[in-house]
Amino acid sequence: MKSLTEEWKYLAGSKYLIAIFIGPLIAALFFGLMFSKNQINKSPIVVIDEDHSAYSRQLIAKFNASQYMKVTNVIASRMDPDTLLANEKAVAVIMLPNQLELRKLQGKSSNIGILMDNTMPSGLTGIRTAIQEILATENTTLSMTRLGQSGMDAETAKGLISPLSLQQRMLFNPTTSYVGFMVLGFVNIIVLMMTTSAAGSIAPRLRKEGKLLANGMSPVQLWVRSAPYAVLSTSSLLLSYGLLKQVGNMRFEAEPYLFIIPLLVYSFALSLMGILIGYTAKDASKVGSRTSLVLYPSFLATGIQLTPLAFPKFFQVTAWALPMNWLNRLIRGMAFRNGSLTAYSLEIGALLVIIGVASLLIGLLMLREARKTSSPSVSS
Amino acid sequence: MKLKVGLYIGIAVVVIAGGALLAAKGKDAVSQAESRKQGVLEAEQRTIVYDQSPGTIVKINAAPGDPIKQGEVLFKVKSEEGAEVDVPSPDAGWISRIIVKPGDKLTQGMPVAVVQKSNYYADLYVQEGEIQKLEVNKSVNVHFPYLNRPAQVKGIVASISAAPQFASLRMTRERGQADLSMFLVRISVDSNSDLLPGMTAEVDFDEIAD
Repeated sequence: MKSLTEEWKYLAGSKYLIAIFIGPLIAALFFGLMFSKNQINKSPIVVIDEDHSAYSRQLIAKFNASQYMKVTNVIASRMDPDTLLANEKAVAVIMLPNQLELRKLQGKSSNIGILMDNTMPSGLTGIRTAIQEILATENTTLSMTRLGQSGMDAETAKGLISPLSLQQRMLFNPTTSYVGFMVLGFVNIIVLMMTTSAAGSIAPRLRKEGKLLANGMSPVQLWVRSAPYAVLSTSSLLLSYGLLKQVGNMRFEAEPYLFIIPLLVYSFALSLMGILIGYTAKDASKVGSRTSLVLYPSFLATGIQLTPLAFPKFFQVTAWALPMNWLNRLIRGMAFRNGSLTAYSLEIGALLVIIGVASLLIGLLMLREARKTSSPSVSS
Repeated sequence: MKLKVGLYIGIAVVVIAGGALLAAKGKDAVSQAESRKQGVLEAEQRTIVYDQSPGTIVKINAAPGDPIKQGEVLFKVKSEEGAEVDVPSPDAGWISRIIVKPGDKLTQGMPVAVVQKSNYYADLYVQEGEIQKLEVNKSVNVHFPYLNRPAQVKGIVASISAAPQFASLRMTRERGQADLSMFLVRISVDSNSDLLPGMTAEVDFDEIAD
């Protein structure tokens, strides 16, 4: 009994008393806000309208009116769906065929194509429901108005039963294989964890050895130390993608020698971010807990398990600061679709901004520390 | 030391600016592809209709796939009065189908053969903003990007007209291009052995000088 009261007394004065109540409250608030959308509304889609008719316009208006979809662009001539889905501006492409209106008036059946980007399967559930709903309603409306007709041939009869039939294609990961998003994401997370904590312990280690600010060391010399980490994690990532492709049948269409470029940029951004978050740590053992600042958001908000579209805009924008957000976009875009490097300037530009900001902050931190250490020596 | 730090910070700022510029100004795959208009290569086909007095087919001079010239005799028909009548081809091109066989009785208005003209064409939909690049009879390069060995031929702008369905649309520009006026441009291409109707033809508007 004595030990119990002793422990109570100890707890009453410790941080745990506050943390155990505040922590879960913050988590409830944070995750509650993060997953507040429950379902994905207004997913962006693109329509290729080869019919250019009043009826195809009506159908597009109906797609747009659905709560699950938002038509962001209507394209008048043919375009490769790969191109339209390349930069994640849309999650699906609906193709309305030529002579759609004519065939409807003739009482014949038409096929409508929907091509969905299945690199993040969680983003598609709403769209599949929505388009089924719209076409089912449309089909019933059309067939009811035609019931008055008589003397129909076989083609007309088919048109009567299903005037519009849907041809669905799941692109880039047709079997919703976990290797293409979850396994790949876990591999990326492991590399992220190891690289940030290893690069993060550079500055504390140097400080301990007394080399950090020794004989006028400039930020450049610290910066350069990120290079081996970047090169090694690039090769490690490339190797594991190769393994996933060979063993796990992961799709990887880009040329490996071209994909090295974005991978290197990403790894540099990651190592520099590691140096930045580890810089002020007292010693290397404190760096590990700091890496969770990058680790957890990268795991949650970059499309490994759940598509970023499922999060409120605020969380989507916050993810822009994470190098992994851009790596995952590059993998889903360039690697899965054999996209050309020039089409991913946004992703590479964003990684460069991250590199620049991290380098700048590292430089400023070093400058501050150099001033702090030099000023007492001057006064003494 | 000070100079070095200044240089370091300067380079970092330049990298940030460069990255931001790349992210903001860089073209994504869709905007890169927007200047490349695609259409389906089509061939004009013409059904030859027998338009003379009733008779019986005596001889057929052509088989499906044969090239023919304009005016070349395709059928010899013996009319009921005993006279021999020739049925010539109205266009140059290829025979794509022969519908009748020797001994068949023909009456006026019966289709006898289908001729595919030797000109192919592709219809492209072009936005208002780009239409000034084109004019009738202008020569353009037509690509066939999805062939195993991509081909390129010369094409001629055959006609430009307002696309009928787009003409009635409102001009809200609410969802990008579809609400703009569109123009229908027909590009005609001389047929050659590499090309077949149904292939995807592409005209790159960036290649065309104003």
